[in-house]
Amino acid sequence: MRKIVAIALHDLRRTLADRGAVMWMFLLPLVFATFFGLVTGGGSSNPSDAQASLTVVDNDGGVVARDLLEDLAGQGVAITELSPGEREASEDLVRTLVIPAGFSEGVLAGEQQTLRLEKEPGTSEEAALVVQARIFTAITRLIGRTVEAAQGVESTDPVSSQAFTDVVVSDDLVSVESSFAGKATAHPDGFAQSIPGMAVMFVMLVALTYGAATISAERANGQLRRLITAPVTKTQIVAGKIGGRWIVAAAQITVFVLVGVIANKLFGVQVGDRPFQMWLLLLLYGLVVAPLGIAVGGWFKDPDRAANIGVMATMAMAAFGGCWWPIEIVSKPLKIVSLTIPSGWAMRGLHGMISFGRDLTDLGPELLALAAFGAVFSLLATRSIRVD
Amino acid sequence: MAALAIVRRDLIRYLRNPVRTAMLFAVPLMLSGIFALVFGGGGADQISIKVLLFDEDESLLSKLLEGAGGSSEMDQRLEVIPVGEEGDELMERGEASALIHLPKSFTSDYLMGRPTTIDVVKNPSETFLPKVVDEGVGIGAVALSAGSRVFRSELETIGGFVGSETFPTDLAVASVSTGFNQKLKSVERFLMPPVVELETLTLSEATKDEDAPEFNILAYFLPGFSVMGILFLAQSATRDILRDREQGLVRHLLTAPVTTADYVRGKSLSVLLVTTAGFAVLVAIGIAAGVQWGYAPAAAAMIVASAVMASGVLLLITSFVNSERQGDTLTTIVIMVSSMLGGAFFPISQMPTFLRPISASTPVFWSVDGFSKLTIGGGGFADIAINLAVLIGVGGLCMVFGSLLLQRKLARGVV
Repeated sequence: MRKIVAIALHDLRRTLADRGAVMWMFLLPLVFATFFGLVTGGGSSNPSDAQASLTVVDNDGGVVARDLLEDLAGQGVAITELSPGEREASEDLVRTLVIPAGFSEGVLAGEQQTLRLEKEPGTSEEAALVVQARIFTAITRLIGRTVEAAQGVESTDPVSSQAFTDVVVSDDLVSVESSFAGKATAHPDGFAQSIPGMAVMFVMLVALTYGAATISAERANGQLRRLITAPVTKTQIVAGKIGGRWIVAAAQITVFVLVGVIANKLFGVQVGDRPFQMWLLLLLYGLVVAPLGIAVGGWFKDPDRAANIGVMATMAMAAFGGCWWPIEIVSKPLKIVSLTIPSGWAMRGLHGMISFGRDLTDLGPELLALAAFGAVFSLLATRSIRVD
Repeated sequence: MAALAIVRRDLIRYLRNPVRTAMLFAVPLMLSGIFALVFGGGGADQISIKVLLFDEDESLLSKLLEGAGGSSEMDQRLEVIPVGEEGDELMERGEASALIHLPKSFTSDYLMGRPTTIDVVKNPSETFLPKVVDEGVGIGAVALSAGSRVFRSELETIGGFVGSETFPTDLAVASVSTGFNQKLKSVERFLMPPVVELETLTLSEATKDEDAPEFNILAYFLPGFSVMGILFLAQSATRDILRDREQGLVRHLLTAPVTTADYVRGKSLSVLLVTTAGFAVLVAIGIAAGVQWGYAPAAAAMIVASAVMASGVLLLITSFVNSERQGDTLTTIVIMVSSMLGGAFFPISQMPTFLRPISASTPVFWSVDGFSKLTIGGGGFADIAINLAVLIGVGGLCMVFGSLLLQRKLARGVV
């Protein structure tokens, strides 16, 4: 054991002596987490606070259009009303509802009217669905109100504006009561997504680039061969190398968790209320990526190539594992892909703690999956390192 | 002449190691592909909303409500799974976007005019999809409530039939039917078809004119990642200057009939050529993937201007540092931060307001913005004139200062 620890500590010292490595370990993850957090929602991660934005251009201004607008407003959809002129000048529109001129008159006369929802390409499809559903609710309410106002009116006559506004809409007979499953501390956007996401990504990145390149270089310049002449076995060397990468990962993980705790205390950033358990889960994740880095290093003789492959593998696993965006926004096949990679299980576990308030003991499938990945990667690392 | 020989040597080195060279292009291409897959047709259109339905009522009314998605588009996205009491546990495990619970006496309460509630339990680890379900159930609730107000008397009669132990008489059934029919006739024009419909369209489809490029989701991401890619390419090319010094190659060269000015000119030209060629390759790959880069001469000008910017900025940074390791650290930070702020990862419109002026102060912004004007807006030279001026101006100045500083350091023997 002493020999394994000695090899591991030696690797840690070498890594910390490299300024570039330290930058990728600690500085860039924080820069990325801050940037992604700000862009994807900032510090507010209360599930009830998420807003889908909608700009409304009312070319009609009649009583029915105004009624529709009132019904559109409410929790979950942030509405901005612009005049047609203001709309032309605005560059930041995401999705716009256009109410045509003559809308109110047409509806009251029973002539079919078309509302147009214009979406900017490349914007959130899920937010657009929320907006669409809200518009349908408002349309349903509007039609209901018009139908009530039309009672007693000849089927050929238009409903008067007065009759429409006079309809007193009593409380709905059927109501909807919404709640969240679990303890619902935070949903995954803003910092509640970016801090765990970047932690998972950069722990893997450092293991698969610096870890892989170091092993590759040691293999290429014969350091591993020299090491075997010392009184250590191949298993001890591999375990020491994995241990070294794991200690590096543990240092990173400790800093990320501490930053999350400090950000929570100072700025109210919601990253769950189980920092210690998150730390433990990430340490297990560190035990998964450390041997993977060693395995990649063992497969390539050229350190640069090993690092490049490490970068690409990390990017792919981070993206498909849900480190860059909540996994809910991807298609079903990509959701399945997320379950075939360790980053997907790590993110699943972290969101279980952050969003559902689950304890580590409730994360059986996630822990088992990570342990299985760790076992497989350790086996690969042992096979890929050649010291003779 | 000596400068050209240095350029030739560098280009041959890139050509002799095609795998290493290809790796330099792999990251921007892979990132663009992933973003396009997730946010483009391959991903967003296939979003499905998994909903658990705990229907304790199991009546015709609850079945009708199950189908109230609001639109066929919404219905196509819904994946409804009937569950029992275990639904809550499944939600605790985050197995679906939402659970809808219809209470046991839902239909009878509705028919008799007693207030009734549908419970929706949402998945807190999802941001928008549970809201879609919430709103969808809301549509059904609103429709039922409006129906209840219009057809109250008829509904109560039906409620009486359901509660009665005897079968209703023909006359009673006919009376309810007539009541429904008469009321429906008077409002038919509002309901069949619905008097208000919603048309949804993506803006590029709505505003597309003949000259605008065909919409391709890659066009949103490839320019940004390509700009980041050529910055890394320029980093790799300028790294050679520091490596040459550390390996003693510069000292060797200066013993030959090569001046420091020749060396720096050759290296600067080499960085510029490699960066320009790299960008051209990325553009060509983009074209093969269906991206239209807009008006060709304008796109070519943007490629050269962006390469000047990337080469200039990296040369200037290289002129300040004293070792390869120091250079790698500093340039990586500059590239990553300016790429993020400059809009290589996310459109500027998605950034918080306070970040936007900072974004516009990065050269990356002027490059990404210029390409967006061409690829998405279908613009020409007039639209990108400022972008070209900023890129060439800033890049040119950086290149001149960087080269002079390097030359001075070489002459003093510092580098």
